[in-house]
Amino acid sequence: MASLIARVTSSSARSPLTRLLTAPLGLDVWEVGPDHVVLQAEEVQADRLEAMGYLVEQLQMTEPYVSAFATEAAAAGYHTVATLEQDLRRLADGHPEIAELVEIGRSVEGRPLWALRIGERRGSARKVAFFGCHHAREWISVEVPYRLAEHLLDNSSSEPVQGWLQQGEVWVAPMVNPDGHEHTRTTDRLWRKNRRRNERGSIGVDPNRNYGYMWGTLDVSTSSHVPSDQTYVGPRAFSEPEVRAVRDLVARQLIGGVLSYHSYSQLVLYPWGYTDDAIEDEADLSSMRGLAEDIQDLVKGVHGTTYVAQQASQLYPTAGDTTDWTYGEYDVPSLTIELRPASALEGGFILPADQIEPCWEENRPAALEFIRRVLAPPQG
Amino acid sequence: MTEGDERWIARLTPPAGRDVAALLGMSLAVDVWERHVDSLVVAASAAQLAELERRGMAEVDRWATQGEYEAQVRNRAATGDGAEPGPAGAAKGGEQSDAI
Repeated sequence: MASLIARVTSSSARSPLTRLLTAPLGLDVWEVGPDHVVLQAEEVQADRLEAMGYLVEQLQMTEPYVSAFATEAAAAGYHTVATLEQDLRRLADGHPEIAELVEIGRSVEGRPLWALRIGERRGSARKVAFFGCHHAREWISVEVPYRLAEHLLDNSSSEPVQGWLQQGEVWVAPMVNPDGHEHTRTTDRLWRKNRRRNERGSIGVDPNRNYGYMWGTLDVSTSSHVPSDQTYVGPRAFSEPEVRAVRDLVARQLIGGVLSYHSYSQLVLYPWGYTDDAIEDEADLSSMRGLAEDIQDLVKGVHGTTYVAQQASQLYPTAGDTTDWTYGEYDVPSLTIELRPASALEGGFILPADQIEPCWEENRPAALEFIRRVLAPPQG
Repeated sequence: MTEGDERWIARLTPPAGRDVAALLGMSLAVDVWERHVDSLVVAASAAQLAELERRGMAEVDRWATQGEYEAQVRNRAATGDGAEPGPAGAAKGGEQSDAI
């Protein structure tokens, strides 16, 4: 049903403007003047107002108005592909002694995939990696790891960050799926996958179903073998260049812990996603679940926001995701954090830009704790 | 885009005697956004939703088309209005939502 924005006036005593403000007409009044009211209404409501004796002048249809207005406003606080590169480069250039911008691969459409290496020396034994934006529409998942990189560099001369960066390296890749992200900015805000052209005309592989641990073992809505589906796993494991770039980074650098940001739902997920069975190794399970629960508490301690720690498959079954692969293949701590908000009714994937900062604030202690645990020297 | 291709945001509730896990265990070709104890929130085409209903696989509560949903969310962000997008009376809270 189409809605419109209209300027309503009246010259008739039988249809006073004040009635528009008090009668239960279901109108969304935006502006009230002495001789007019601007409101948003469905077309049928506008017809009804005319029948009641009002003069209804359509200013614009709602959707293009809101899109044009709100896209600019809502997107103002978020990075684009281009501004992210600029800002990552600025961070690296500002701290050449400890930061280096590395192109870890290229996307399907040829965009560079950037990761920032932060640490005093190359080749440290202990390394941790943060990833964002496997899924295009999850814009907040770019901002949190970006701000983490910024925070580490801004605080690189003070403890505990200084000690971590002397001992180890932090790798931050805030945008694994730049093609998809660009598509959400220009064409379809709710696009999820990358921009691979599949056989038979559909577009996109889900990068977070394309990793090689238990890849393709499920064929359900949330891990699909149908190319047009939102969770298409791809024709084979690691078929996608974005996923190969992450694979190669993790493999070459022998990353010791991985945290992947997504949205939405406010969850802290630990493996497995491909099965309801718990991790068999009791020490690993205890460690990973404990870390997830600690993160849940740390997040809550900042603004009181509730994130829930749970096994990934409790959300839904996913085969071939990042953290099943990093834990399954490398046996390293591997978590997925689903950022704000909690539900579609609170904005879902379209998180208002004014929530970026509080979202980062509440995730900062958790990210730092993850670094601390992974970079801590082995006990004994 | 034909009418059947239009994407909707909807709540799917499994029929009596079946649970959400069973719904997730099928290949439904829907984009799952949230998992709740007794329902899913999904994005899916009108044709897909109609097929789910026709086959008795789920009760479908259509919230909004994708365009309407986006407009509602953006409108809220632009105006700072705290009103929630979605249908009047829709349950709040996604104890199990999307996105991995």
